[in-house]
Amino acid sequence: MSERDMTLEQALEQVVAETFSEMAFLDAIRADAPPDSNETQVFVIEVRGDTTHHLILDLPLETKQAIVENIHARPWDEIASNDIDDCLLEFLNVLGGAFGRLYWGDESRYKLSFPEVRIGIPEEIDREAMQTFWFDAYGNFFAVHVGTE
Amino acid sequence: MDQIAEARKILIVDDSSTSRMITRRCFEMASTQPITFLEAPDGAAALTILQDNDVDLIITDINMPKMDGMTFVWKVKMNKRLENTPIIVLSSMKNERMENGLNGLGISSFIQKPISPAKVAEFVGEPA
Repeated sequence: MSERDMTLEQALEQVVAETFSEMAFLDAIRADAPPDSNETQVFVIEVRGDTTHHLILDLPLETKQAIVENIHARPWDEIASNDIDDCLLEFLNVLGGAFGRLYWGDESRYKLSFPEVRIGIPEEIDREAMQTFWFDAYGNFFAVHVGTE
Repeated sequence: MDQIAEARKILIVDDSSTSRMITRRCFEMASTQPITFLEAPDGAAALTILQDNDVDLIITDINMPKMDGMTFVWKVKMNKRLENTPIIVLSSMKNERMENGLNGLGISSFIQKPISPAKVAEFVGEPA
């Protein structure tokens, strides 16, 4: 399969697995939706190529802790809150860049916004058109929501 | 490439403190020699640092506030004192058009994030 033939779902699944593995040394695999979930703090980046997608990383505390502790190689309670946010924003930045390259291919041009911390799904995202992909990292479920313009 | 392998004073330019930490750690792991690191959160701050410091290598992100990496690279290459300083671009975005543009400005290499000790070892020539 060429990169250009890749669907959004396939590209997202691959870049989530690769970014979790390469940056945070965690395995993240696709999962069914858990019985209940409440998005609170989320991390949002816009990836603009032939089409525009908002990638929204919706992580439970346990997954945030695992990512940040593995990247910093220090316990969670020794890491300042602004460093935690910076770490998760950079994590999403890398994920967004990898998504753009894989989804549109090496020859295509795409841009990334600066990643942001938001409370809940941003209002400008069309929830009707938003797709949600669930993943499992060692028993902790997290979601990547994709809003498409 | 020898110039990069022998770099002992490196300026890291990235708006993410996490990315600067990871880059610093990768170079420390890949090199057997002590390295001094200077850090800046954007191109404008990096140019200020370069007014008073000579460095052996610059590693810069592209997508940064205040002054982006593309403008920063151009300004370094237009400066007679700095023009021969090797530059590695480290960015989460990578495509041929961007890479060709940066190669045209004279960068030494382009690495797509995430950086790793193995990727750095390709430049410093020492085991990761």
